[in-house]
Amino acid sequence: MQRAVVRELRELGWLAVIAAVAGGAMILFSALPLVVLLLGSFWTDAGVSLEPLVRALSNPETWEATFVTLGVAFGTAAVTVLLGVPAAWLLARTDLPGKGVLKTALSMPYAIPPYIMAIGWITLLNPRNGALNSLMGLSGDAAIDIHATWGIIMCLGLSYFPLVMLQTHSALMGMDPSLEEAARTSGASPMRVVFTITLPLSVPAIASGALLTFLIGMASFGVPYLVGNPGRVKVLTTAIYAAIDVGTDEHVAEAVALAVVLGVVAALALVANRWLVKRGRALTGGKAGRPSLVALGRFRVVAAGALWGLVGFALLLPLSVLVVTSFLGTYGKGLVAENLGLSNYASVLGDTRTLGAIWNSLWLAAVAATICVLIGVVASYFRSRTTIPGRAFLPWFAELPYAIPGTVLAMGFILAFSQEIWFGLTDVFYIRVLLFNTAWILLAAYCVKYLAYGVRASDAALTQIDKSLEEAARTSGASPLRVVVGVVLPIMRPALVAAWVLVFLPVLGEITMSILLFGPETKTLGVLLFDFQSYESPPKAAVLATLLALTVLGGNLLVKRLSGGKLGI
Amino acid sequence: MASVTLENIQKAYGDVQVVRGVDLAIADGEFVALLGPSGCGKTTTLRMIAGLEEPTGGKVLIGDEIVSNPAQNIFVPPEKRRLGMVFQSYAVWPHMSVAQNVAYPLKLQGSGRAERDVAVQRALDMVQLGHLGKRMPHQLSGGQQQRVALARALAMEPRVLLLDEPLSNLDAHLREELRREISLIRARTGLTIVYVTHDQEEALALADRIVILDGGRIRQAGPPPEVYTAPVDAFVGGFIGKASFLPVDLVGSGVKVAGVDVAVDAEGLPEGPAQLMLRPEAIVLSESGIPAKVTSVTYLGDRHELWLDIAGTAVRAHVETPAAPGDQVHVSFTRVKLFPVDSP
Ligand SMILES: Nc1ncnc2c1ncn2[C@@H]1O[C@H](COP(=O)(O)OP(=O)(O)OP(=O)(O)O)[C@@H](O)[C@H]1O
Ligand SMILES: [Mg+2]
Repeated sequence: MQRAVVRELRELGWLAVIAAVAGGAMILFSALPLVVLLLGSFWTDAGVSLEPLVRALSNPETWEATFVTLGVAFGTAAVTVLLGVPAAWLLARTDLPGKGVLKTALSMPYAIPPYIMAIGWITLLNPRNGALNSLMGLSGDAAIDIHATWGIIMCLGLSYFPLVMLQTHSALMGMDPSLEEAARTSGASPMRVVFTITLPLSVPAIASGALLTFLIGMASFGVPYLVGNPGRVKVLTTAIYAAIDVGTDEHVAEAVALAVVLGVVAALALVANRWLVKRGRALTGGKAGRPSLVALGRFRVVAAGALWGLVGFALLLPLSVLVVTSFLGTYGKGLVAENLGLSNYASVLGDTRTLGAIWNSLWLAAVAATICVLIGVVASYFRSRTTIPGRAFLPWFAELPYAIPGTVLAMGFILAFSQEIWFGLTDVFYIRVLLFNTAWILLAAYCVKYLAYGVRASDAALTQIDKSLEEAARTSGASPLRVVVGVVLPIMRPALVAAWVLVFLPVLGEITMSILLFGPETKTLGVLLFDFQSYESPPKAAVLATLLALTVLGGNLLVKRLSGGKLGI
Repeated sequence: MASVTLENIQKAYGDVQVVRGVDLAIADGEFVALLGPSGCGKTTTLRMIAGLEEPTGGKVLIGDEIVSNPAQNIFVPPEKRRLGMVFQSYAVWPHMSVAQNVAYPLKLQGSGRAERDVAVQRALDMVQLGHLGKRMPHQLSGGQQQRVALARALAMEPRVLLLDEPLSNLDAHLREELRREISLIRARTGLTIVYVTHDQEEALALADRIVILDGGRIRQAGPPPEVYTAPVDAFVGGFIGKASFLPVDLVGSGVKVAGVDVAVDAEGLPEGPAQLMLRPEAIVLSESGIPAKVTSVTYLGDRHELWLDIAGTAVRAHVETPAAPGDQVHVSFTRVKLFPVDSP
C-alpha cells in the first residue's frame, strides 16, 4: 500500500514536487493569515482576552456598519434576482429577437470591475455636478444624490445581475423541455407553466446565484468606498479600511475584530450555498433538448426594448460617460468641442508614476495568472488521476480563500506578514523574509485568491478528456509526467489559456486587497485609479477606467473564442 | 373520447419540410401506432396533434372540432385540447410528489379536493402505484416514473391519449411488462390512442392499425397483419420484419432465381428488372429447388438464423433444422412478393 504510493509519487516526479510546494504555500499564505487573524482578534499585549472583540461589538458604529453591509448584500441579491431571472427567462424561453447578441451584451457588465461602472454613475448622479442632474435641471436639495445605500445597491446590482442571469439561463437550458410540455398538455397556460413548473425547478439555481451576489455585495469594497464614503455610508469593508488607514494600535484592533465579523457572516452564507447547489443537482437532470418557445406576440418588441434598455443602463450609459470624461480638458467645463482632447491621455500615459502602476499590475497579473493555472492543473490532475492520499486537499483548499472576502484575507496578510518571518533550522542556516510593502505580498494574495479559477478550469478541461487517451499513452510506454506534458496539456491548452486570461483580468484591476497591501513602491493600477478619482482628477481616473474596461472586454471576447463560447461573456 | 382527423398536415422548419402532407382518420377508440425510421416525422406529427407544434399547413380535427388550420388562422393551444401525453423522458415533475403530479391536471380542470383525491387514487391504482402516492419522483425507478406519467395522463380523462416512445428508455424486461399493461388499460378504458414508436414489435403487438411513415409521408396504413403480409412497397416490406431482397428479371409473368422458376404475382408490373422480397420464415430448406450456400449460422434458441448466398445475394432465413457454414443446400419459398426496382 505505502510502497504503491511511494512508487506513484516517484513516477509523478516534478508534478509531485510542484504539488507539495503549492500545498505548503497555500497553508502559509491562506491558512496562516486566517488563523493569525482569528487569534489576533482576542490576542492583546496583556494576553488572551475577548476585550478587543467585545469593544468592537459594543461600538454602535460596528453595528451600523454590519447592518448597512447586510442591507447592501440583501439589496444586491434582490436587484440581481429581479433583473437576472426575467432576463434569463426571456432569453431562454421566448421568441425574443436577437437573443445571441442580447445575451452577450447583458453579460458584459459582469466582466468590467464594478467600481468602474460606479465611477460612471457618480459622474452622472452626484449632487454637485452630476450630468443627469444637470440634464434634468435638478440642483441643491432636489438633486439626486447617489452617495447613499441605494446608490451602492444600484451599482452592484447592475454589475452583478448577469451572474444570476447566466446561472438561471443555464438551468433553464438544461431543463428537459418535456417537463414544461407535459404541463401544457395537462391544461396549464404558458404563464402558469412559468410559475408552477419552470420557476420552482429553477429555484436552486436562482437561490445559489442570489447567495453568490449576496456574498459579493457583502465583500465588495470598491463600490461602497467610492459611492458610500462621500455620504458617510460605511460598510464593514470600508470601515476596516478606514481603521487601517488611521493605523493606531487601537484602530488596527478594531479592524481585526470587524474582519472577523465579516468573515463569519460570509462563511455562514457559503455553507448555505453549498447546500443549495447540492439540492439543485437533485432537481435537474434528464436530457436537455430544444425547448418550445413562448410566442410573445406584441410584447416581443416591448421585451426586447426593455432588455436593450437594461444594456443601456448597466453598460452603455456609465461606460460612455467615462469615455467622454476621459476626453474632457477641464472637468467642470462640460461637453463642448473645444473642451475635448487627448490631454488627459497624454498626462496619464506620460507620467512615470502612472506607467509604474500599470507595469506593476501587468506583471503581477501575468505572474499570478501563470502560477494559478500551473498549480491549478497539477492540483486538479492529482485529484482526478492519481490515488495518492490527500490528493483532494489542494483543490478543496483553493476554494476557501476565493470565498472569503478579500478585505478579510488582506487583513490576515497584514497581521501575518507585517513582521519579518524567520525560516530556519539553526542560528546559522536561516532565511529572513519581510514581505510587507513588497510586490510579493500582493502576488501571494492574488494567487491565493484566484487559484480557484485555475483549479476549476483544469477540472472542467480534465473531465472532457477521456481517461483512455492517457491510458493509451501509458501503455505505449510513456511515464505519467510525459503523459501530462505530451498528451494532457496540449489537449487542455485552449481551456488553460482561457483560465489564464480569466485570472489575469480581475487581478489587473484588483482593488479590495491591493488598497490594503500596496506599498510606496508597489502602487497598482486600481489603487492609482482610486487616488485619481478621490483626490486628484476624475478625468485622469476616467482615462485609466476606459483603458481597463476596454482591456477587460477584449480579453473576455478572446476567452469566449478560445473556449468555444463556454467561458467569458 | 374522440376521433382524430389529420387532413394533409404539413410541417416545415424554415426550408426543411419535415411532414409533407399526412392524411389520417383515427376512429373513436382506435389504437394507432405511428412507425418509421428515425427522423421520419413521427414525433412531429404527434406533437402537432397535441398542439405542441403548429402545422404549417393542413387541418387537425379532434372529434368535430378543428383545432388547427393555418389557412383559417385557427390554432387551439395544447392546454385547451384536453389530450393526455406521455413522453419518452417521463417528464415527471421532480418538485412534486407522485400524487401531486397526478393531481396537477385535475387542479387545472377545477375539480374539488375530495373528487380529486379519488381520481388520483384511481389513476394510480390503474398503473399499480396506488401505494406510492407520497413518494418523490427521485425515489422511483424509471419504469415507475413512466407509470406516474401514464397515471397523470389518464387522470385527466383525456379525449385522446398520445404516447411518444414511452417505453424506449426502459430495459427489455420492463418494456414488455409495461406494454402489456398499456394494452390492459386500453381495453379497460376504450381510449383513443396514438402511439409513436420505432419498435415494430411494439406496434405489431399493440395497435389496431399501423401507420408507416417515411420522409414525412405515409407509406402504408393498415392493420398489423396486412402491413406485415401485404406491404405496398419494398420500403415497408423491408422495414417490418427482416426481409431480404433478390434482384430478378420479370419475363412474361414469371421470374427465375438461379435458373429455377418462382411463382409470383406480377400484376401491374412492367417486364424487366425487379426485386423479390423474401421473409426469413418464408424460406424453407428442401431436397431440391434453388441452390444456396450457407455462409453463417446463429443459434436463436427457438430457431436458427442462416445467412444464405443465393445467386450472389446475401439472404436471411429462419429455419428449424441446423446447418453448418459452407453447406450447399436447396431452398424453396413459401411466400414471396415482387416489387419494381425503383422503389427504395
Ligand atoms: N425544431 C426543429 N427544427 C428543425 N428541425 C427539426 C425540429 N424538430 C424536428 N426537426 C427535424 O424534423 C425531422 C423529424 O423529426 P421527428 O422528431 O419528428 O422524428 P422522429 O420520427 O420522431 O424520429 P426519432 O425516431 O428519432 O424520434 C428530423 O429530421 C428532425 O431533425
Ligand atoms: Mg421521435
